[in-house]
Amino acid sequence: MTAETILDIFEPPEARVAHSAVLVAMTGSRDFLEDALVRFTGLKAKQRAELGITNTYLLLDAQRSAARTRVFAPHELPGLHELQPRDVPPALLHAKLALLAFARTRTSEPTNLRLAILTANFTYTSARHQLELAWCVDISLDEHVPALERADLAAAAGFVDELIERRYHLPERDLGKKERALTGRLDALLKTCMDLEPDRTKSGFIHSLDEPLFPQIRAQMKRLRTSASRNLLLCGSGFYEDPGKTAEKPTVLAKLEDLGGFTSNVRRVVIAEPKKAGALAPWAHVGAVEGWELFTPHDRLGARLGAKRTLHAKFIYTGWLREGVASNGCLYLGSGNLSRRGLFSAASQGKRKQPSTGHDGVNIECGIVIPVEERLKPEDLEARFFWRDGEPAGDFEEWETGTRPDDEVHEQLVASPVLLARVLGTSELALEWRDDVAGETFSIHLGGSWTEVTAPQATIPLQEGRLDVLRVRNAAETQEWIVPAIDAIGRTCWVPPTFATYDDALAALLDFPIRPAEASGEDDGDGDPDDADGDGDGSSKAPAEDHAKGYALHAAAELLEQTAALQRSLEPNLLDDWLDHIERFFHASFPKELIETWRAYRIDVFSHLARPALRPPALTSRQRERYEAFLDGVAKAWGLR
Amino acid sequence: MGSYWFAAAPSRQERTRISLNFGLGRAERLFNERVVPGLGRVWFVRQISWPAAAIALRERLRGTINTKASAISHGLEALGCKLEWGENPDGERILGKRAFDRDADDDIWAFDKLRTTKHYVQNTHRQAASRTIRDEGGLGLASGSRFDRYELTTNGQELADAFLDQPVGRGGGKVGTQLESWVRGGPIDASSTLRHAMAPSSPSDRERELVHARIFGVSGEACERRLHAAQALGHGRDLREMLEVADRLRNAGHVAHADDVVAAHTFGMLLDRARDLATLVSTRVDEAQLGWPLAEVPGDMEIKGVVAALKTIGAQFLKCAETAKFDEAKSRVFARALEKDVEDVVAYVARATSEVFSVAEDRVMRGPLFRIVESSAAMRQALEEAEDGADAREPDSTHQTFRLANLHALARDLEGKLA
Repeated sequence: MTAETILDIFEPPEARVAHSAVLVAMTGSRDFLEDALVRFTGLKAKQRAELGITNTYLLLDAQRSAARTRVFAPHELPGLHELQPRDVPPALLHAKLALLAFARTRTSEPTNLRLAILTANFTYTSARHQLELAWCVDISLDEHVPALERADLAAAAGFVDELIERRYHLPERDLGKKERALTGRLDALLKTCMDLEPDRTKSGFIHSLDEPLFPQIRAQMKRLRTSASRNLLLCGSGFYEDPGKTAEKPTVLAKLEDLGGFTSNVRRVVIAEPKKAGALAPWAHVGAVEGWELFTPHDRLGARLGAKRTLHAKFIYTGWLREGVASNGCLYLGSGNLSRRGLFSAASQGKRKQPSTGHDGVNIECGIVIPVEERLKPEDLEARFFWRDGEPAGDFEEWETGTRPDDEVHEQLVASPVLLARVLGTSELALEWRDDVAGETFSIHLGGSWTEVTAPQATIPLQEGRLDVLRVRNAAETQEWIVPAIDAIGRTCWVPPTFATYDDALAALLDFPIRPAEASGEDDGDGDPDDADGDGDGSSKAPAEDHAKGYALHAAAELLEQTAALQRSLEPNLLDDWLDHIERFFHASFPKELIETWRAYRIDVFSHLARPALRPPALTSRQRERYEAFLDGVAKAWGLR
Repeated sequence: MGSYWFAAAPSRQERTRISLNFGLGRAERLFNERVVPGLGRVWFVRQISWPAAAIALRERLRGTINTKASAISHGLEALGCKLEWGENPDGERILGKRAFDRDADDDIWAFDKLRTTKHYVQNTHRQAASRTIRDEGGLGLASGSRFDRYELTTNGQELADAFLDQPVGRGGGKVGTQLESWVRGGPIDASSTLRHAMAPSSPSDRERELVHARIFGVSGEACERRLHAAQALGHGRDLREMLEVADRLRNAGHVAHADDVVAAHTFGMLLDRARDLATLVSTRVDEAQLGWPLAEVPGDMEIKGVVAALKTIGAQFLKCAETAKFDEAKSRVFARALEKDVEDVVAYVARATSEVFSVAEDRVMRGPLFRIVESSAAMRQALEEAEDGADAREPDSTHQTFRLANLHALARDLEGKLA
């Protein structure tokens, strides 16, 4: 399947499930990200919370606003961890990419990788209301992967790795690989990609951590151009640079003329939103646009769907135009606008001092430069670059800069002093601290009250026994953070599914492999979840006595019979997923009343489940060890032994 | 595999984003139940037959293969829709058109594939019918709290049998036998008799008879209301306006029901006008990067016009609700709040949409799920064009008729007429 929309990028390939993803953008909204996670994992928020696996990592720009005073809390987007930003010289994270891994089962190693370079942020504004471009590469690790695709994946992963290293806190670095419950999948994803790096082939992926995009675009285009000359320069951008004091040709356009390889009669076309034309507006007002043709974007698809979309894509295309058909082309698409910050700044130029205006700062951008071998007919040029030749913009009077002096100057988010909490045994909580808060005092919320702790206090007593997130406040109580908690069996931010009746618990236990959201048997119906007076189906409130229908022995026999039947029919490649699944269920999901009855009658179902006739027949020795260990653990926890 | 680039088409609108009910979801549900009780979101007969047959098949297969009723039900409707799509690609009841188009070259017919989102849809007919078929507040065809735990009642079993005993092929076989083998992983012979036995547009006479009896032939006020509403809607192809339905109910002596329909209609208009205000406010907030000052409200003629329309309909709703003895606290408080100054009305509506807006002392800011809110007209357009799911296809997809449109379509299907 090839993606057609921004959300499609998250859809796993046929017969694959989500392994891990890292998403980089300037902004991301909760509603879009939730829908992206549903596409990626096939699971709704509640199902993901019940799974207790973090597999998506989000890096957004660190700017603070009224609506964003901290990174996303784990319960806001279950399964996703947004990295806490470091206090470093400001640079606007403007790069937009998604790097995803897929596997055959939920617990196995990646078999497929996907990289998407976008001009869009992870918001519905981008996905529905703006004209955006994306480039994608999909590879299967089971097949031969061309060197260029390996180079692109490795380069993008290297960029993410470096970005995290320089600008974000990444917990669990002191732990061994297998102990990194929160970030283990991120490590696996980046390593899998970086290991693909070929010896010689140069990637078309570019970024501005160290060097601005423009010289890289020029070098890449020169490399791809070889000896062919070009007579078309077509570019567009959602924003253009801030106008200077005089109505001169924007610097970026002057530089673009210098990309090289153009014939003397080259056509130079620039596409802009009239209300966000930046330095193009005053330049167009005075009518001094010699050498360039200015166009407004055309959105044929949007017009057909009744959507009014504005240009946000950023691209530079060079090629040969003959009788309306462009060919032999070369394309940059990416996050960098056609502005000084977008193409001529690099993070390495950032200074500690807060810039006085939004146009003084530096950006972290990324993009890709690729050859475009296909012939683009006029309808393709309109559909893919929003350019309708023959209809240049005429009335420049209405063009506006669309920029303001204070654009994009923001305070930075302050990272939580505690990055992670980890339950040790049954009565202790270990805290992982930021490395720059030693000696400072904060409050954490435990057992229904706030407790003071001074960094870097390593452990504190824990009464609850179970914790999915930890709330942390600063001493002045002006800021609160919610950070992930890892439980004693390594689940992250786990909200165990609980069932009031034995029947429901057994049905959910046997509901394996975990059903995708649409087939979970849950109904979307009329219920309004935030309406306490609503007439929801009340399934979770069914009377606990329900399981009285099956008295204890009958229930135990039924559990054994059905679990064993399912275990016998499992494919070997699903066994790790299955062990994860039953471990989760037996730990927290069965009704207390049932457990008490079994305890009273000394019915130890787990000793039976361990027998060769009832356990999964194809367990490896490692899996059998794990299976027996947790059966024993659960039996003890239930008081059966 | 390999690389490609594209200009993105608009991502499909998820239902949760479209719905914006200002915290008045309960009032909306109460009106649904007053206008057309117990029907849920069902609007044609096979929406009821498929899940009943799925529960029966689960029982038949128990012990050989433990497949959930929801999975079987999705399989049955996907198969029915795909068979009909092959004959009549424009059929209104068909879900999955996009996926079927996509899969056109791959010939996807296996149960395990066809029932999935990838090869069918996310919002299925089964989800629309779950509440309708159960005994509490529904048609009494199944009992239980979750669909996968439903057990068929005698009536439900009768309907399932009517569906599964339909003849297929030439050898006197039954559709139930073919489906059992199909769910177990066997192939399916996409014959014209199977299509007729499965498709959304061809319920058998027996299925119609049994469903008709459950909708219009049982005792109780809910059934009477359904019957009266159906009579007031009439048998014509076109749906009557809600207020005309109310008049016909009143003329037939069903005054309380008529009052409910009028109050529901006014409530629908209230939601529409509030939504239009939220649309304008979202545009203003989007344009103003640091929040939109409420002080600008009195000078904004466009906003004032929309608020005036909202105030008028709010006052009308309070009167109609009183007549209908509709005593629901949140909707009453909402309508009363519209009596305040224009600035306060804007702030109140913004606060009632807290996922989209946050209101500081003197300005409306972006909320956690801020977006440009589609106007009531644009929302309808978006639903019609953007989504391939049961909730977008039902005649009352925009909730404007409080299920009257669904009842009208269902009554016509029961008579063998197309929607």
